[in-house]
Amino acid sequence: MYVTGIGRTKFGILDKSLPELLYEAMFRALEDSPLEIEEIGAVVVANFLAGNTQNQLHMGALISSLLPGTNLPAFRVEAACASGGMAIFQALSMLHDFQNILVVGGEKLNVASNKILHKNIAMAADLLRDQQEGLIFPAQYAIVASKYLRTYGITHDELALISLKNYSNAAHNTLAHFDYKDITLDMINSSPMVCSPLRLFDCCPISDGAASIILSREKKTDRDIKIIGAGAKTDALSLSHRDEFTTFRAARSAAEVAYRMAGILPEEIDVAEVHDCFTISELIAMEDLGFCDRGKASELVRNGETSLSGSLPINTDGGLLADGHPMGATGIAQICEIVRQLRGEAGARQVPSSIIGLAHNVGGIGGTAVVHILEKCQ
Amino acid sequence: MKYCCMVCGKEWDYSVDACIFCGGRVSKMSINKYSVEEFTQVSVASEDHPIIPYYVMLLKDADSSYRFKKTFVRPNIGDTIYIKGEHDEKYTIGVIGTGITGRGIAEVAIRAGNKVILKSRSNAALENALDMLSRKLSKSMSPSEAQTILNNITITTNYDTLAESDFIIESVIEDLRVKKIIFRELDSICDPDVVLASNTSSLRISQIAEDLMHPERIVGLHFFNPITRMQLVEIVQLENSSEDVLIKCAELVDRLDKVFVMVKDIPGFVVNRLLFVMISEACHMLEEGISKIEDIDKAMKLGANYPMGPFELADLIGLDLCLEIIENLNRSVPGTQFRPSDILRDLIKRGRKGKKSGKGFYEYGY
Repeated sequence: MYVTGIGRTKFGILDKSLPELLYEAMFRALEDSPLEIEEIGAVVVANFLAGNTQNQLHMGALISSLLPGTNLPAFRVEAACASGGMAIFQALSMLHDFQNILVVGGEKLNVASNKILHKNIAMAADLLRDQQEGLIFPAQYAIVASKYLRTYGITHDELALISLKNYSNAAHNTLAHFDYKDITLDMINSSPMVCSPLRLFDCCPISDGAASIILSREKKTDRDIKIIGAGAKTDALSLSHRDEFTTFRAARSAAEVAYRMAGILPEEIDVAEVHDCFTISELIAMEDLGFCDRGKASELVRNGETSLSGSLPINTDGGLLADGHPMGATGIAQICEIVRQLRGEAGARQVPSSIIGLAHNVGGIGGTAVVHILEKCQ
Repeated sequence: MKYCCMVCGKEWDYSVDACIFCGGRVSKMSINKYSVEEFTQVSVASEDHPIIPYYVMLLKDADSSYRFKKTFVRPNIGDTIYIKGEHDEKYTIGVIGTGITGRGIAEVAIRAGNKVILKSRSNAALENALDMLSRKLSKSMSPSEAQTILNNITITTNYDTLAESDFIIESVIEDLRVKKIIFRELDSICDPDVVLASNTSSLRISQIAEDLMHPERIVGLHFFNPITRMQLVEIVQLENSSEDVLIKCAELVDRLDKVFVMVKDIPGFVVNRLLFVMISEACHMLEEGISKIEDIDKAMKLGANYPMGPFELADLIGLDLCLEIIENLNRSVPGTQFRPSDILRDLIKRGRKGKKSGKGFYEYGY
């Protein structure tokens, strides 16, 4: 299983419509790949909120409109913020039937008010248990953050460092939502409180954007990157249905499956994209992925190990916090970044001699988790 | 409420009969005591939760299962919280009056699973009210379901029947003399723990409560029409209303799936006191030719984010009722902000009483 093409749009508040964004991402992925569109056998499209935000569903046929005359089998995968990662996981299992599959995901959100968007995004959580009790998404992760800070006796200062790192990475990514924003610790710490203890810069933005990759059963060129591990797991929708609040069981077991399939250990990862929808999410991801022991993630961040020049650079594109989070596109854009890094095409943010990369995509508050491990073809 | 397998202990929020893992029988468990495990203060508004800040608590029960609960009161970690079961306590609510408001209160009360004793002077009015309620309920449920719910209403022309109520809400004409007679009667026949409330919008509750034996149980419960759709209830607190009575009222409002605000006994309370300044002023602006009806409405909708403009709202309320309230407020509030406008009187004289008569400030085609 190989990634033979990647492409994505700018993330941010964009003028293009959802179909235009999806088209641009697919165009770039095909342009990047040695394949022609006629060689694609099926399309999997990831989208979370077009139904409620834009009254547009039937994504498979929408793709067909964008690729006139191809009449490809195409369908939508929805797993909230993990829609992109799940679409890839689904496509990999379909490579048995199709030689080449195009995966595309995108979101167009900045057409609705924030009040509506908070409500719509909350659909990723349980209607009765969470939504009706006012648990919008930042509140979910605020509960987790509050528990984490209390359990491990750390302060918001540690969370601020994650935001600082990811914003500084995004400065090298012209496609990032916040490639233009030069932020300081002072700005982070004095930004408005969203849901205590999370401040504005602890939260990812609501972005428009799309990303696409092409998956092939066989290797086409030396630029192709091999997928050596894939794991996807689910857990109860509501955080209140769990008994642990500072770790996601779905992420731990998805990682376990992916590592086992790849036959590698966490310490062999050279570069990782993790689901930092909030600063706290990055700390929890590092622990769930086995990069360090529980409660120790902030030490790695403080020591700079996860910075571009560290031993395990994380979210080199800026992550969800600064690259942006167009949900349907996010999991796919993570793979784009890992492929770019392993190919050695990441420019100013290139991690030297990276061979193995990992992408970790989470839906809701850990209700879905997808982990992919990729390796450079030697 | 949770559903728990009696054999293997798996839990659901949903009413399932048998366990999918072991086939065991699933039983309903009502939990009401929790401790606060974690909480967050939410400072951003969303469509369904527009009032901020609020708090969401992560609560833990004795079996170490969890749930979330929204509150407007800042909690502390470790606090003990009691949450009543969904419908484990039903109230008996006496409603006096079968007008639109009396019927509305009765409907909201029975829909929320309570019992209602509906009192009027004539059997004909009571039969008519039941008939209207039956037709209203039948719009959203089968006739047999509607009948089951309606069976929770007892009708009476006799005050004595009301004595078994937990709450009695008076909703008769806005006449102080009539209300005083009713409350004196209720005060003498009801035990002191029965809460007596008036739904008056323009009279002072303290005047209604004068000379009663148990003034501490008198409050205002001011509902808004259409009562089945409007979320707010103003709980009007008198100087000597007991705290116990106010808490009971807050629980009642919560049980009716409505939201309360506590207000003191001033003319117009909060909503009418503010609303009719605007409606009244809008009428004067119209008279003075400052702007058109449509433009004044548009200005308030787009400039102040009101869902309706003052004239649309006045038409919906009914212009005769608007004038009555404005005149009442003008009598009881010093200053000129409630001086009635000629335009309102003129429209009413011409039979344009608002949406209910097909014409008001606007014309309504049906």
